[in-house]
Amino acid sequence: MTPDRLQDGIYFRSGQRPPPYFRLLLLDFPPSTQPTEAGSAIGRTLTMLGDLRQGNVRDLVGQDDEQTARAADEFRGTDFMVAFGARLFDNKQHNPPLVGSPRPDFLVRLAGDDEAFPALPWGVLSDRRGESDVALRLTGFSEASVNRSAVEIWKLQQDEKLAFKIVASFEGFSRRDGRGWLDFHDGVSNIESSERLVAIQAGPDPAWMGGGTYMCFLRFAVDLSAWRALDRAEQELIVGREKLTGRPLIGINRGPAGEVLPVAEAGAAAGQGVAPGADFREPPEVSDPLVKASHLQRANRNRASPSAPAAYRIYRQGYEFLETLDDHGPRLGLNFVSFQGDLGRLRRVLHLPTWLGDINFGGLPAGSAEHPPLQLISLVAGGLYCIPPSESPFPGAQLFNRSADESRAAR
Amino acid sequence: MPVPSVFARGDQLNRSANALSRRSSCSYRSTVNESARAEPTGISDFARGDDILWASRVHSALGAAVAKYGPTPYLRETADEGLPDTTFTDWTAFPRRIADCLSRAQARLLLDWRTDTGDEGRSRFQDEYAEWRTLRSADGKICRFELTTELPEYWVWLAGRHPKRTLELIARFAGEDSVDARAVYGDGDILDDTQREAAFTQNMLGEGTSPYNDGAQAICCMRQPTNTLDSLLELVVASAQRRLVTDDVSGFKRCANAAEVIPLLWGAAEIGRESDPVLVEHLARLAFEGRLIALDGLPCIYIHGVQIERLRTPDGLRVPAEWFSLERCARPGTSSADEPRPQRLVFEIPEAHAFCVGDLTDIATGQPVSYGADIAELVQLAVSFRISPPGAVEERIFVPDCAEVRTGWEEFRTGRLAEPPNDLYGQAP
Repeated sequence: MTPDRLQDGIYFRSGQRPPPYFRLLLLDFPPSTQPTEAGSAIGRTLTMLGDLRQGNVRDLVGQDDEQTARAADEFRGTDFMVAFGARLFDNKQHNPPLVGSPRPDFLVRLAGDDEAFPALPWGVLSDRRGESDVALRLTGFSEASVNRSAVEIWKLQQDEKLAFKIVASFEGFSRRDGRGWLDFHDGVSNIESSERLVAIQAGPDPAWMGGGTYMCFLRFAVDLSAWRALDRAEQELIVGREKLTGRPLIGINRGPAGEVLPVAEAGAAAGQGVAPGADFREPPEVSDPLVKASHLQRANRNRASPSAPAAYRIYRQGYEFLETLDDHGPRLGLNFVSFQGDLGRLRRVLHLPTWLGDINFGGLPAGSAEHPPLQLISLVAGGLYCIPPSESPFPGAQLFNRSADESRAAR
Repeated sequence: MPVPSVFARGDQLNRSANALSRRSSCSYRSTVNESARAEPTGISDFARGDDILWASRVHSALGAAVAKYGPTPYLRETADEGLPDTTFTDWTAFPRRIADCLSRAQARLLLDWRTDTGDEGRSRFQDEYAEWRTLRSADGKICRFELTTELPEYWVWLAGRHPKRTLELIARFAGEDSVDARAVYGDGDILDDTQREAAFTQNMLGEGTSPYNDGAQAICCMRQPTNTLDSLLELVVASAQRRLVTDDVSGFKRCANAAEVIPLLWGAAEIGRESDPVLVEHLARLAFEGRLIALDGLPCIYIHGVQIERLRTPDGLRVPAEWFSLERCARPGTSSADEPRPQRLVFEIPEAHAFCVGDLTDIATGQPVSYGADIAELVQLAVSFRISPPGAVEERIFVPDCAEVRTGWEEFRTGRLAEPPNDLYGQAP
């Protein structure tokens, strides 16, 4: 089997679990940046992050071996990934143009009107950040490791006057119980580990992206008050799972007063897998319209593997966030992060009816008195990014390899 | 952008577009196209008793598929008792395989390839059970997009049995008052239904050059060689089997995926498409769960939805659903909840607006709509099935891997390794 060329930090192999802490750093180049300046700024930053993993902190040059080992221990398992947004390819933003290659077809800025996607509006408090020339995704096993990495990048930029500015940063964490803010299991129906690479890896169109992947970052605010106003059965119908066990719903019964009683599949609870060692479970076919309209069923409508392109499978790695907590309640949500070989696939999931194109999260699109549609999530920030494959000196370096003449000609 | 040479017939096509009148469309409450205009539900091509005759034709095709791929305990010919539930498999009409073989940009161009003899790109490469044509204005911009999922076998049958209705439909599609029968059936003497079927096939399908199905004046049904009833039924029959594999990583048994199953299907499905692999896997999973499966009503591929929210006008506004016309609604299945199933889509901008389809932008790509594939990309197709509850079919303990045996049989049958005796094997599949 040919080894893949994906950058570190996707954690798709069997048994891998993403580290629990996440920070996304967004960088923009000023308009007059030269391609070589941009390339060397990225390269220098990634080199520094590599040094950091060895325990070599720039402001602590000269510390002894024991202190260096402690620093290395703190940064052990911290991964960084470099991604490029649509802005990098936009010649209106860059004079001279920074890259010689046209942008990949579906790598676009999210629509600036009310809804970035048909059923996913921008939130009231959103400042619609999330898009930039470059995104650096940091993941690690401690809050200190990802936050220190981010601040070391700032220090480096300041000290060496690197040709970028940090325009935004988003943090997140994951729970050890495999649940999200909705208190339901999340990520259980991700993809069979043996099939993930097929879902993640991009083809050679354009050539420099062959073996890379694409990332979608959507920072959702979750209306937890609205969610908690629902009873458990209503929540289970919207998610498509039994809350305590995570088992997928297969139908409904009616109680004495006509109330809906969700029925879950028999068998092992979520997280226990189909069998020991298996870390994935496909949802069952269901026929009840309410269950069929649940988030679980909509997100995997055809129940097929990534080897069927129309299965539109994406590999998710979400991180929760809590921004504020005051008299108005918590401002919290999810950093939805997905990797896919083709951003068109994500578009279809979020645009197609009966998938997630006609409902905000889950449930019947038209709703009813009994099951009104729920406006649960709104977009705080978001962006689409391409993640070139690993190469020397850094992923995507060939994009910046342009002579001054070429840059002038491209103006 | 310069107009590619394949669109050199833009002037002529534009005149055709102007001649086309507004049509009514299916009245169905799609989740996307709720405002689609009204046409009576169900194709009205059938005279009394015709539904039985067409069903008989489908029965024969299904029998041939079973003879070729072997019977399966999971498939029922009709959705009678015991199959209370409905499910569907969906995909989009953009021919992914072509883009993966070339690039998306090249595929978009190739798929609209026109020559003086017709829609070359359509008849060779539009292979997702949907075919389209574009009409362009003098400046090369698309002013009208038509897509059909109607099966050629149905049209052959219709053309043989109901020539008047056939010509009426074709005239409507072409925006003409009437159509000269010779343009559809040729100049030969025609005495009966069978001869009409043959004449229609010769002129409108395959290498036929009638302008009423080569995209010059109209398209009325699919003609790409794999977009057929026989292909669909063979795919369904071959796929509706329970197939288990041992997962490479976990070491546990699981339902085989499309990449693992398709090589065993003896050419019934093709890897890399949108339609085939997802149908293969969905049916295999239903069989894996021990469900009985039947096509929901007479077989058809229908338009389930359109991602209209991706389109923006030059003013940045959304495109209303009314600009899409959904037509040729197939008879729904046996469920009372079934919605009509449109098999034809027409998209154009009302004359009151000073822009055309080619002036729209797809927000998902940031590109203007320049090719028919850009609209096909938005169109969601589906096939509907009736299914039983799980566990209706007793689990087969032994599922042989037939690929090697079938390959050997094919080599034997075609005489690659030895000449088969014709008296015994001449009629083999």
